[in-house]
Amino acid sequence: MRTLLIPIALCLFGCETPPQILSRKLAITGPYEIGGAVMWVDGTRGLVFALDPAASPPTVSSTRIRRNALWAGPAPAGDSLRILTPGKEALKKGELTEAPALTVVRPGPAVARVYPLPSAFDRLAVAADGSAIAYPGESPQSTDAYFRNPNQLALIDLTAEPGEGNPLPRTIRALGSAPLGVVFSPPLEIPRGAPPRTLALVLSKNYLTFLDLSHRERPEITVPLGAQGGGSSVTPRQVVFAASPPTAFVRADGAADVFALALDARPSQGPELNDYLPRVNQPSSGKVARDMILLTEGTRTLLLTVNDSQDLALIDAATSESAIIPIGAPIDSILPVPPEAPSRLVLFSRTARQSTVHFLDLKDLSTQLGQNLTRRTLARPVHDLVPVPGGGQLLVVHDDARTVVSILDLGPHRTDAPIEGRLPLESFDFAGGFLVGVSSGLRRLGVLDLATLSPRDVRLDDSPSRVIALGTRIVVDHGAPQGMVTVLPDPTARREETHVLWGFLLGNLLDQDLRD
Amino acid sequence: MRPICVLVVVLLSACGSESGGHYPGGAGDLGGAGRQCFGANDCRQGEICSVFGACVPVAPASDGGTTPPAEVAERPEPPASGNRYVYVALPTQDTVVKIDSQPGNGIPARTIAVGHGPAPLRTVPGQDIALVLNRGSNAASLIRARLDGGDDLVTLPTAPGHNQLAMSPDGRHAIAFFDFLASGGKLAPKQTFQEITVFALTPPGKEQAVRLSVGFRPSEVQFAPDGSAAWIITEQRISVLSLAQPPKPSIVPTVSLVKDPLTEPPPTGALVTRDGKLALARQPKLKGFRAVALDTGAITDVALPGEPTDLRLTPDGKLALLVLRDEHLVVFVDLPGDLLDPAKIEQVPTGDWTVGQAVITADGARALLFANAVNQKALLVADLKARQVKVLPLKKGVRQVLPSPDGRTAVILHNKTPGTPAQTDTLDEYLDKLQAYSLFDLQSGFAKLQPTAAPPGDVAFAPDARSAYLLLSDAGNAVRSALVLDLRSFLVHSVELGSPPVALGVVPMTRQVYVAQTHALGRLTFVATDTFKTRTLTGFALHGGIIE
Repeated sequence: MRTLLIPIALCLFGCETPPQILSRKLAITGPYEIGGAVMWVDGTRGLVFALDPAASPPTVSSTRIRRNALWAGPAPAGDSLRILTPGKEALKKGELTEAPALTVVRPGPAVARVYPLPSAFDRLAVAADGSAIAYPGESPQSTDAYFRNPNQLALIDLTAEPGEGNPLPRTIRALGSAPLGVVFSPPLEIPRGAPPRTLALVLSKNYLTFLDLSHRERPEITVPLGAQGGGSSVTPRQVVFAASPPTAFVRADGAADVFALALDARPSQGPELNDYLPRVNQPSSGKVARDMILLTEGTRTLLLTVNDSQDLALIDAATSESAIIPIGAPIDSILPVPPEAPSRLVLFSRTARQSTVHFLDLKDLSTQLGQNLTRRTLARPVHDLVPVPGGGQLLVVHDDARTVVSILDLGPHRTDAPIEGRLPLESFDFAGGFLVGVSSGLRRLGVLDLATLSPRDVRLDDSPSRVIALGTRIVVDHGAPQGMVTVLPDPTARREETHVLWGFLLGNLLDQDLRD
Repeated sequence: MRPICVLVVVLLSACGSESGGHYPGGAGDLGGAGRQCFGANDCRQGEICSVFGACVPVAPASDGGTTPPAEVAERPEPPASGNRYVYVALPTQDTVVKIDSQPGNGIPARTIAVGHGPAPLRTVPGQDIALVLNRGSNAASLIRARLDGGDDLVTLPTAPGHNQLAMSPDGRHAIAFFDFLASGGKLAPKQTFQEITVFALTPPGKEQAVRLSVGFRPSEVQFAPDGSAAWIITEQRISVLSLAQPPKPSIVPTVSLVKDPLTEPPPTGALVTRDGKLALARQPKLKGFRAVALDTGAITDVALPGEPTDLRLTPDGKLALLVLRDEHLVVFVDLPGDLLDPAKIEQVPTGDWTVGQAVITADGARALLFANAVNQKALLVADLKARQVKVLPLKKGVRQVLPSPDGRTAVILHNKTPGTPAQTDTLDEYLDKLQAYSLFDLQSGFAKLQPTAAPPGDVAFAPDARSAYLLLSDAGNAVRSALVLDLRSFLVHSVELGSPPVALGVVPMTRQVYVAQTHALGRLTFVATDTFKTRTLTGFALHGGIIE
């Protein structure tokens, strides 16, 4: 968050008392990559700024939203920005009153849709079909309220205009905890052949709550994750859904196995009653999972987990039987390559750094098991792996400071090319076959051709904060409180081909009719 | 992925679930006196199983002489499977979970709320009807599965303090009573030692529960094969209950098993013939056996050369088989004729071979004779028709013999001598120190010794007798598996389990075997007896906590 001390404006207002807002710190968040634009949120004044880097020259527009943004984030499709605001009470005559709201802003030109909320929420979960649930986070930022119900939600249909029942306030059943997060299922046919429906799964400590978003009037279903009175502490961390049969797989801390919740259809007992019931099973791998991924092999659904016991468990979702593939080294992360339709998995550990990376070929995995496993020992321990668009390479981060990265080729030889840097790689992105990166201590943009591994630099006018690639266009945010970006039309652009915009966050600052 | 075909049923309740094998686990408060047990085999060396089902040290022999070790008897619990469903009682949740063994649609489980502290649970043979005793609420719950997957639930009152339940073969009646051995010394408020509750389970909608008075300390209930009568074995008597008509509250007519209740010790091992006319028993210190006519109460002591260590009846009730261990004799008693003319009783010597126990095959053709008080490496097979005994060698001493349903094979669980096998041992010594079982062909006498990594546990046979299933569990050595024994080829497959197995049983309709395992949230695995493929359900204890 950047702050800006509002310049002396008393003189501009003559004898009138200036608005209190002018003495408040500016709360700027962003940048957010939204569609083909880059957006910032000014929570103090209630404004969203959108940079269009494709325009020549690049332009910035602004849209008014509500104030005191608690949370902002892009939509799953990246085509809009969602902002939660807690509302504002007028303290004096003439001040503005605002109700809590969710505002959705789309770029090009920026438009905003406002959904009034019943309470102040500071978390939003959004499904691909436009369903959304606003809920209070674990550490609420809004502390003005006397009472706070951590289990109150707001169900929102973002594809529809706000109105009666949209959003729909809802307090879900609680068993002594509060929501930690919300995940959404893909469209599920329960039973097969029925109209697809989306379920929301609210994660809480020691239990889960299912909400049928296609039938919002029906009661929620609460599923415990531990024996009642058993003293267990089970915290759900990760959920994956299988469509057929409809099943939710849940990985949780404090559980010795993953949970498989099959969503069984049952005869309808009434329009306001649920027509499905979760059935709990724990696939008997008996291993503490650190990550998991759902695979399909023919008609079979398989769940692969990486476990504390330095092995993999391949679990048949239908029978719950499992096969163990020993690894013999710590692993806690699964990277599917390529992400959309993986043909192999890269297995490594983010917490216990190892020089060895494991590759698991997914072809006939259930029969081949360990025979599909290969290893590659790199020159240095691996801290993180990032897939490079295209699926043929991985960016390997070798240290916390990211001073050393390498490009791991996923071809048959799996070459490992180290790329040295002077400073920690603080922000990077991929732009049309190039890796671009910046560090705040150096006024340069680093560009690496991933095909030839040939590096080059572009001088910047100020210290960079973050780099974003929009297609082949590159936007470098300098983190200046007044707003400053450098825009490159493509990774091969020369210094003289860049555009620098400065001060756009102060646009019309004194011209606008600011009120408290 | 290796297919695993064993059916594993997880027992959630240490006390309640029973599935085709001996399960001594219980939640009884023994006040630190010892582990709960049903027989001496459940206790460590030097301990016996007390009347309260607790392991206690053996009192030293007063005469200072050598006392023959006692034969160790197993007490299997009946399974909790119906025709298609497996039922598991969860005492801590006051629920019964009904698990569908039908393959192809996952493993659906349904939670049924019953009374407080449900256990034990019994099922009607071959039907999806379960009766569970709710010990905490002095009631029983009858659960009938419907075709739509639901259940009809009927609650019936019981006398206070019941902890044991017996189901008649026809499923029309059940009897609840208080069993000292299962109590662990824990008595309920208003505990009664001489009441039973008889449940009339048919017709649906007209179920009844009737309290009756019986002799002191009932220990067992035997039923007539057609379910027309029940015989409650008490300490010195047999209470004879007719089930032809609905019983009414009363004192059940009893027949004394002792001539002098003031001086004679209680008999052991009373058996009632299937026609209900005779009860046979072993009387301590009696060289012979006792026959009691249940209609007249007449007691006849039949003299034999020694005190029998075991008494068995053939399924048709026409032959009683006794073994006299110290006298090395096997005795064949035709019923009822030999009781009138004891001179016709046939006594077959076993020579140098010791026989302490007998098991009769289901077809009544053979008896398998063995002794587990000594390390005898032989199995004696008696032809009950020819009245001949032949001795067949084994490689290890015998603990228990379990014949298959068709009488063609047997699973022999072996004893183990103390110590760990070492390379310096002779072969015999080495084998003696192994945990092992044998598969035995009763026709040919072929025996195949199979060493195991843990003491052989419960055994269940597939209904077609083509396979059997044996549990291995040793927490200290991380052994938890079920062995699939092919009884035609004697080949063995091992199925690794996620948790230590505790019991197993058979589900007739779906030809599945289930194995119960210990797991905090409940674990049960099904094994298809034809393909040996496995399916596991874990966490069914959570079903009762699902809230809508």
